[in-house]
Amino acid sequence: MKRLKNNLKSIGGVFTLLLLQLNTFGQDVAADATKPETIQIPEVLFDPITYLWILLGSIVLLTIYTMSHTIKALSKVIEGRVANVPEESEEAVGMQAAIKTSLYKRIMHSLVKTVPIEKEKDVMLDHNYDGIQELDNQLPPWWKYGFYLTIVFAFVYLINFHVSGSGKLQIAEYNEEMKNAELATKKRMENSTNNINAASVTILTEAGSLASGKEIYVKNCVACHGDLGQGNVGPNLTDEFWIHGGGIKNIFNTIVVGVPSKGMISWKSQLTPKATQEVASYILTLQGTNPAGAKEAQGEKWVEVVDSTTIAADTTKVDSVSSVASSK
Amino acid sequence: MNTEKFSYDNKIVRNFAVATVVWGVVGMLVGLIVALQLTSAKFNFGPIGNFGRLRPLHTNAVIFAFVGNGIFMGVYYSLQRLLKARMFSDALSKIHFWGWQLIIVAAALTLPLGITTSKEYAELEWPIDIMIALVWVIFGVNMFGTIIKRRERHLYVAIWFYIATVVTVAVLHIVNSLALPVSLFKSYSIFAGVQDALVQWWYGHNAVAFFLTTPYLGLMYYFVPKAADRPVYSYKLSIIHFWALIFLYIWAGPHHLLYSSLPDWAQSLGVVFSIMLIAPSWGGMINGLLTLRGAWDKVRESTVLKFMVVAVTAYGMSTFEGPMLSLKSVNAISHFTDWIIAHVHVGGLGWNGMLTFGILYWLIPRMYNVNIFSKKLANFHFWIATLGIIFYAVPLYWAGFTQSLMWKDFTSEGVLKYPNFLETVVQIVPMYRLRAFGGSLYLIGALVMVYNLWKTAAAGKFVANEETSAPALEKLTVEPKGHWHRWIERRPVQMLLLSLVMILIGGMIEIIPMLTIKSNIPTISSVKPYTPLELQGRDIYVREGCYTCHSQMIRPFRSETERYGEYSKAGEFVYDHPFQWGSKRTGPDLAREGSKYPNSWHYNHMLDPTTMSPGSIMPAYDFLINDDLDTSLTAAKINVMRKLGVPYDNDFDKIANRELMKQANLITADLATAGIKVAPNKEIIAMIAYLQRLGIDIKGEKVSSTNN
Repeated sequence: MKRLKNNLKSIGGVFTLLLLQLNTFGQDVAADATKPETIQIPEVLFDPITYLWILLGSIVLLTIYTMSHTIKALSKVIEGRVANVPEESEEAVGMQAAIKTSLYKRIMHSLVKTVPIEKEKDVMLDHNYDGIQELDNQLPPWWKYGFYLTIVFAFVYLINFHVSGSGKLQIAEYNEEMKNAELATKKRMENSTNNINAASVTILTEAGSLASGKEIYVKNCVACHGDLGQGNVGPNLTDEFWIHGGGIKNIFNTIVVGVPSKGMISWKSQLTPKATQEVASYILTLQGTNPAGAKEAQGEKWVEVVDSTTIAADTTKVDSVSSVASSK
Repeated sequence: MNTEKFSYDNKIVRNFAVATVVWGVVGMLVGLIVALQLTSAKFNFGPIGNFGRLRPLHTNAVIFAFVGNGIFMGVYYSLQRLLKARMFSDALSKIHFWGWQLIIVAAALTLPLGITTSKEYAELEWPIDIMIALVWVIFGVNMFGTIIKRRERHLYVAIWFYIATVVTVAVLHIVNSLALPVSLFKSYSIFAGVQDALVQWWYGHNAVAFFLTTPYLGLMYYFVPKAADRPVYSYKLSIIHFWALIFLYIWAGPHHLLYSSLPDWAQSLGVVFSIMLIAPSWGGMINGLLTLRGAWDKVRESTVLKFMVVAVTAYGMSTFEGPMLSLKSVNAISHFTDWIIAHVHVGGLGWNGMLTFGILYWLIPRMYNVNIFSKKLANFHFWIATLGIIFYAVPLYWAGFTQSLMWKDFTSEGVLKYPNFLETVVQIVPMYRLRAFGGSLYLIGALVMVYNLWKTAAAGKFVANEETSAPALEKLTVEPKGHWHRWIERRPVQMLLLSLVMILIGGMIEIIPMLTIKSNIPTISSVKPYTPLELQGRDIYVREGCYTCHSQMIRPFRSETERYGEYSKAGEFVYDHPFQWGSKRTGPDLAREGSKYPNSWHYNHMLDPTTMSPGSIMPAYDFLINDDLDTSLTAAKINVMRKLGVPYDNDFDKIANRELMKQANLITADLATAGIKVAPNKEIIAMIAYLQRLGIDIKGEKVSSTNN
């Protein structure tokens, strides 16, 4: 049993050591990988999640390794007892184990260099502080070399980012992220039916689209326009008066560009063109519902002209009215 | 040999022990309250009982009242015995004790009243800061006096840590608290924006290093070998890890500001020094744990050792996690989330809390000459505290990870999957409930300890002055041989000076260029000083502790610029005395809040956040609508700001209040168009003015991003 305990302890030591080095190593790889610009490097290499998974995965693997060894060792002990093996072979097993532990011991000793407790007297210093004594054990080599490794890491890191310039600093990293997103958007727009804009948008009438439009409305619009479109901070959406023009095309446009001066944000980055079309269509179903507490009419009466493709050009006209706090 | 008779002062130790326990319970209780407030806004009792005001009270109470008194308790006990001398002056000990308690009371009164500088863990206003500096110097003098009249030639490793603590905390506290007073209860930091942020986190990180770590390592070096009755594992390791630790720690502050507007070179220094810190930190853990070699059978028996083992293990875990969190790729996920809260609590509850408990269970029976009242209860405390830590940390790791991934998630159509910030908060509220449960377990454990220690003390007889004797120290005629490090162990003053030099190097190399070299903070011409009304509003923002939940720092990530707008630039903060970047996002970032919503939205939102954001856990700030804005200090504030380099015109202070009313009237008029009737002299108007100003100076402009 004692041997088993020792084994477990050694495994624990190796485990933490590996964990330590694995992590710093992973970072080095990430830093080095950015060097050759010409070679295409898979994106996963830059994704921090990848490294987290590697870390977690290796923890799991090491745990399994440790557990399997423990079980093996345990089962040996149990078998040895239960099966009542003849003395001879038990000795053989013991010897085998002894060889094994001695290998472990040798590796562990070279990593730890601890003086065994029995020989402690040899390294006892003559210090005595209120009865506290101190041993003169060596710096554990695994610790010492780990320390060196972090110092090397520091130099490699600084050289990579600030001397050779091969590492991307945060703004370069950001610009690349944005460029990639832009490319992806472009690609998507080319081969997508989602390519709707204010000029081409049409009103949707099927129940499914309106239901999802309502969902979007409840999630994003009620705070300012009221749960029934009656208006609150924002204008009433149920009457026929519109500040920035009524009709599907104008409403779509207002949602996309927003009215920043009056506090309505642009929803371009939060709602896809299709979602915008759905919520705009839903808003139009509120026309004439006359909910309780409806806000007074604002803007001009909108008369839908069939086949109109013009967008009311007044989205930029109305500012300066309420941008009080933002001036000066 | 002439043996001298003297006695150890146990009374001062006992007093600090009582203070540790009392403030510990108070600090944890406030912690539980703020934890509950994060589960639902209904636990806020504004204004003095709002999260924004209580969170600083919690952090200050547990750091400076609980751990602070814990440090003094352990130092006063161990120092006397390690030096074979009574404390230098009983009077200084008493002044130190009562001075420190007075500071704590002052903190407990001023923080809920909103008297704060808003610099984390340094929120106390300037008169209290001065008191802290004085009491700290008294502690230092008392300690050095004792060292001078010692009867032990060499200083033990614990005392090296105490010395480094005393000198470094003094430097940190004084530099970070530099401020110009406006009135008795209001001051402005002399640093602004990026510089203020760097100084603050140089301080903040090293408050962890030199208040929560080095003194506690000193205590570990005394109490662990004592309780285990084993020799310290390695003297060589003590030497190397001590000097490496104090030298490296001081550089690591910028890891709190990764991906911020702090220049890249400073961020990188923060990263690499944090990584190098693993080894010195683990040196302490190894020396602590391996001291228990051959005593593990005792750990099974002794509750004291159990507490200490968990403490040292928690220390090892959090000092490994810390450097990992300092890697930019990990930090991009963890920063601003509850992951960090989990991390600090593994350190706080695990390392500081458990070591303190272990020491108390060891110390009190000894000083009262009696056995512990109930070993069973002590064991119960150990298990419930350990369980409490797990219930605290695990849900928060989960919450932090979940929320961060939600913030960063894009749909296949290239828009934010969770554009509404609130969605990401609602998602983790169940985790907040579990955390509050874990916290209450920990608190219950502490209360059980109070009872147990009380009963122990009642059963025993207190030994106020422990009689002892030791030979006097004789003058050295020849330098004794031995390890080279013994030389400095005989020379406390040199030890002090060398520690000072060690900790000044890193701080100076990072801070001085930031203050003197212009290119570190590229100026933006469109950034203008705040108007008087906005400045008043900003002071309300500071008073209410909005920074405890809202950051003002948009990091250069697509997920943040899509959500909040253009990433923050260093030049935007040049008039921010103090900076308001925040460190945690329980609510969304506000760096570009200006003109995002109409004035009426803010009015309604402050009146009752749930009307504008259903499900919000933000407390109501309805009192801002009723309270009049105090404009008596407007001119003084303008003058102090001008002294700090904010370019207000020479006579601007004279017309400041007139300007203020002009702007207030405009906002009131605008609110009236939305059907809201409110007088222009209310605090809410100033608050709206400030919020509407945030980040708009460079809105719509393309600012060159080459410099930073």
